[in-house]
Amino acid sequence: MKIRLKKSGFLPGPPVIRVGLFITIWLTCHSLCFAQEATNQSIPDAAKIYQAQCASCHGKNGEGKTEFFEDPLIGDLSLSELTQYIVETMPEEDPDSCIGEEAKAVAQFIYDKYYSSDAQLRNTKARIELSHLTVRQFRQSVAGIFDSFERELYPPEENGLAANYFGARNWTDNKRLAEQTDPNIDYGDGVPFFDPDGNYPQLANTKKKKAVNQMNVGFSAYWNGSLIPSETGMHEIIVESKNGFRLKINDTENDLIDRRVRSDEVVEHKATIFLMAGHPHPFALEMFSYPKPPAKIRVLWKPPGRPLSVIPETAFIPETRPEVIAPATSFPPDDSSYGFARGIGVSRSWDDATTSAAIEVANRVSERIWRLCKTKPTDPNAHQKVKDFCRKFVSRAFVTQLSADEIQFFVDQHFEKEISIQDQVKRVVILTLKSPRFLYPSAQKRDRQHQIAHGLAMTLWDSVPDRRLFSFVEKNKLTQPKILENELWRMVDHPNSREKLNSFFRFWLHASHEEAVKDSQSFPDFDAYIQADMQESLFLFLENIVWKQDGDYRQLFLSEDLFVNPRLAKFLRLKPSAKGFEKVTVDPGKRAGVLTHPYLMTELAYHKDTSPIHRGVFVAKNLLGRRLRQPPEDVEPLTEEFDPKMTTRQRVEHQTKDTTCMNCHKVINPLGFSLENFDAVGRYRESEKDKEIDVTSIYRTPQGEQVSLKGPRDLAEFLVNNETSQKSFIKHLFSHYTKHPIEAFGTEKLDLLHSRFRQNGFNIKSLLVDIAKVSTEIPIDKY
Amino acid sequence: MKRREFLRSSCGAILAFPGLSTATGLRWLMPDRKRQTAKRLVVMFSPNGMVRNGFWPQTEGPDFEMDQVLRPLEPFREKTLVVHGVCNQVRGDGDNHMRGMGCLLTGNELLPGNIQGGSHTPAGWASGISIDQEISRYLQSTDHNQTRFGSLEFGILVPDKADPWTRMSFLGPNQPVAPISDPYRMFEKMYGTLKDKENLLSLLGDLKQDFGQFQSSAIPEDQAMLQRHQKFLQSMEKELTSSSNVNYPVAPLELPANVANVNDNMPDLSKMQIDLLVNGFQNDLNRVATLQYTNSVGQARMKFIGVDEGHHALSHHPDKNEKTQEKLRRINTWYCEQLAYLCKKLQAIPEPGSNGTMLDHTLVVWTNELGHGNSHSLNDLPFVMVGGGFGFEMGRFTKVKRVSTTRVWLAIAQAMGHELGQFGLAELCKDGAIKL
Repeated sequence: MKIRLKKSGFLPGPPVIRVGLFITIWLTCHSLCFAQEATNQSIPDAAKIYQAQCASCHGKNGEGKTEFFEDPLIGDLSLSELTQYIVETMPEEDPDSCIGEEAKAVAQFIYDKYYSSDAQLRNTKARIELSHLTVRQFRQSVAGIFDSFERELYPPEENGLAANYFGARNWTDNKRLAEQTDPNIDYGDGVPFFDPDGNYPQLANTKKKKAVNQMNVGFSAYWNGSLIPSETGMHEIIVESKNGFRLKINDTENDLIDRRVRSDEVVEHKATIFLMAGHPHPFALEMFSYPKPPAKIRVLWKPPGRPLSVIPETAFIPETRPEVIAPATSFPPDDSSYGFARGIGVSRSWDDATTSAAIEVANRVSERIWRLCKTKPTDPNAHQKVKDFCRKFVSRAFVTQLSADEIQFFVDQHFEKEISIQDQVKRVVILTLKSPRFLYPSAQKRDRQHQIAHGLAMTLWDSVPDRRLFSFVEKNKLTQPKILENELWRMVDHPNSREKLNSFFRFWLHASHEEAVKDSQSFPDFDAYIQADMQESLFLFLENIVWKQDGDYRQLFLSEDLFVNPRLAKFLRLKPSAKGFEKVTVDPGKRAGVLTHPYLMTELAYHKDTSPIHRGVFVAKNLLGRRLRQPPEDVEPLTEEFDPKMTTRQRVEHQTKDTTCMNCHKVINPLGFSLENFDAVGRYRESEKDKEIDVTSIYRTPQGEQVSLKGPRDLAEFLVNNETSQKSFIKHLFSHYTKHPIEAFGTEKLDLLHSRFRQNGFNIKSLLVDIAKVSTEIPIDKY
Repeated sequence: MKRREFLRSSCGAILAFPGLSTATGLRWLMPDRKRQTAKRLVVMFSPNGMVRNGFWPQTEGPDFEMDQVLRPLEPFREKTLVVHGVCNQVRGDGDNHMRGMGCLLTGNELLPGNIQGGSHTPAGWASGISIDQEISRYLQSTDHNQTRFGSLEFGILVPDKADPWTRMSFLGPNQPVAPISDPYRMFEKMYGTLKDKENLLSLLGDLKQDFGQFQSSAIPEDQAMLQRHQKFLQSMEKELTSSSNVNYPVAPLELPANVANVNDNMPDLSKMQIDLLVNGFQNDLNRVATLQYTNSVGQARMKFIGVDEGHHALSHHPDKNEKTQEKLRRINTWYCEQLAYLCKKLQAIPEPGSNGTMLDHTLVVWTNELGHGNSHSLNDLPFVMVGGGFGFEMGRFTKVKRVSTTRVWLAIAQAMGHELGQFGLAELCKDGAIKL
């Protein structure tokens, strides 16, 4: 049984590679190395050797050749390793024919000209290519345009829902029993304050006349606030209650579920709704108990790919925000062949999806036009207000000041048509969202104020600027250094930015919700709930490091904190925690942040055994920034049956001991072995098959340095102090945020960002500010 | 069954289902299906009981009086049948307004529930299917009467809340059907995707112009991608122009723009909904429709006919109060005018593929949740039928003795070709369909 490992890193290829074993070959060669007369002592002309003998397979400039060796001659072996490789394996037919000085010379030549990271950087001709909005950017931008008409959003200070309870069917103030903040709606054992006999001594003083009125008998409650999901997509919402109730989510006019009238015994009521991760969607639930049924109610959900659960406190805020308007239309996935999602693929299905999405949004807007324009049909200025709204809508979608011609083309001409105002608005919305000015925002010409606002919002939020940012643009103030700096930090702290960072972590740490299946005999208590808890735990950890503590990148690996709820604590055989998630320090000296987090350890493992290879590849590529070639073919891993006495480590060592395998596996294996203390579901263990786990290993850096590792903490220490790893993090983060390789902004930018990262104590938020500046061409040091 | 017989019968089955569209129940898509003499039903509802004086004729038979309220129907006298003595005899939970509404078309009790009106026992939704939905269900199950929607439920100023006072149509127990009060929303339902396409088609010129301008200002390196994109714009155009001529017998109705869904626009809203209803019949989207004016206890304020007070409040005044009686007569006359407008429209359309007019192939029933407003009586409901009659003897006024609504619904179902033996509560159908 194999699990699938998602593709990551910078290599092109299919998004999912089946990984058995990574048996990797750095270089293959079909031609002979130039074999000089062995007796000639003069220094060989390496360029000549290369052109005469290597170029036929590797290309004249090391770019590779389709029919022979496709990949360019780049890599991260040290010079001595490369030389040794050529000596041992090149040319393939007769490795002995290219040795000694010739091999050394040609290795030096290849290394300097094509292979080394300096050479790669020098040879890169990256430019900022035209790209359209990614799926995420499209949705975020649409939501952002409408959000820019509302007051700006700040990170929530409080979770939960505003709750009101009444000793009557209706909500008269003098019947109010309580007004409070509830964590969530989980009252399967009875709603607070409800009394089956209707005795509410707290209401004794209210007027007697009203008390006899039939309408005042009974009990009612309402909860409101906003719902902030952590996934984007179709969510199933389930209300469990026999009482009368109505539920509204992200639609202040229409009920998602209306069961005010109850003449059935159905307990479970379902509905499905599209929600956007990180966005607060208005939420309101009203409940009635009349005359005397039990008052019980629970609100659950099934986010995409997650199991059913009561909506947690962390997903609610008591503040009611305006509706989120974003298309639920499904899009084809973005091109991720370069290791980050970007909009470089144009296809029929993508174009169709943009059309459907434009129509969907247009219909939704036209239904809400009066409220969005803050007017009503009877307002004598209604028409003008709607038109003004549309002008702003277009200008904000394009993030630019519209010319008179553009106003006429995109807005005014449609208002001259003899059609309903709803149809006029629809035309504006469709034309705008289908316009290349919206779909290819980087190609839109802008003045500097708009350019900065657009660049920052797109980089940090995948969206358009919000109201506050636009107001600075309108006042021509965004270029003022103090304001700009202020805004940058506000934007980095904004919920949109936090959500974007989460999307990066999901990508970088393979933490999207793919179901892990585990051996039910070995791990009978592992299920989808545990996996969901692990994922929640991982994101709480990340959130804590970045947003609650000081945002130190190194703590991602060094921290010994783990977030657990009672269920996860029990699973990991830890002391049970209180209700909900809480931070604990476990296995002191043994755990190392995300490196040993149960979620990753579980993902990077087989259904029964660990997989040092998966773990090693993950650490090498995603954390250390090593280049690994794809294995030449799928290789089935040796199973336990091969030799029941062997440990996992022994089997891996046995299977990868060949020289050809070891060229890659000497990088992979040591990294994976150092995490062997964590089993296939992320529990700490000290032995396997009655043998003590051996986590000691030696890792060789691209510079040829040998690092002795004695478990995850050594690995973590090495990682956080290693310049290549730090730069790798910057590169990953940069391309994820800007959708372009960092080289496209100038070959010196990586070193610049890195030195700033170090100066700023490896602060991730500062790094984000710097990335936003680089991508918007704001000098880093000047401001 | 012998092998040969089996083969023959199964071949027959295959022949009867030649294409996917038939097999998946999308028969209405087939343009050439036989339209065997269509039969349609419209149930029109207005609330709060009827004024006795000025509505009920005195003389039975063909020479009946068309007094103030019924006068708008004079042009359709020959096709009108007024029945006195139809009673909603369903009892059980809920007040008379609730039962009047929820039991009117269902002939079934309200389920015990959590909604209380006045000081009666609380109740919930009706416990059975309503006659409009039952007939629609039957028509959809037959080969030649299938339509896209089966039935459409039109509302005029039905309040935006779901409770036993606002729902008369039910798909079954606990399954109320919400009428659509906003004509634009009803249009969306009937022709929505078509309208989207039209919008897009009419924007194509602008889209191309915009794209062209953008493309011409892009740098050469970016042209390849934009050219690929442009091709999709062209294929969208091709697709839109080729598929936009969906074969509707008549064009989707052009609704007047910007009519807000508010009380003062009641006459416009009524006209728009009736026009849509007829347009739907012409395009054979449905064979059954309901037309629900407000709701039980509805408070329409008909300022446009000089009545400022709410309808329900007026209906509580005693019969001897001549001023309010006159107002109630005016209100109900206005409702009758709406009925007459509907009939006039149907009368003007020749029945497609058959003889006579569309009105001849339609039965319009106008009724109410109460017989009499101030007494909240469920007896002697106003009951007016206009149309071809489907075998009923039209053109007269008749008095029957305390006949349950269920027996009338049975008669109408049978007249529509649905041989129902029982509808609603069994004890209310003992005597079978009433002969009219």
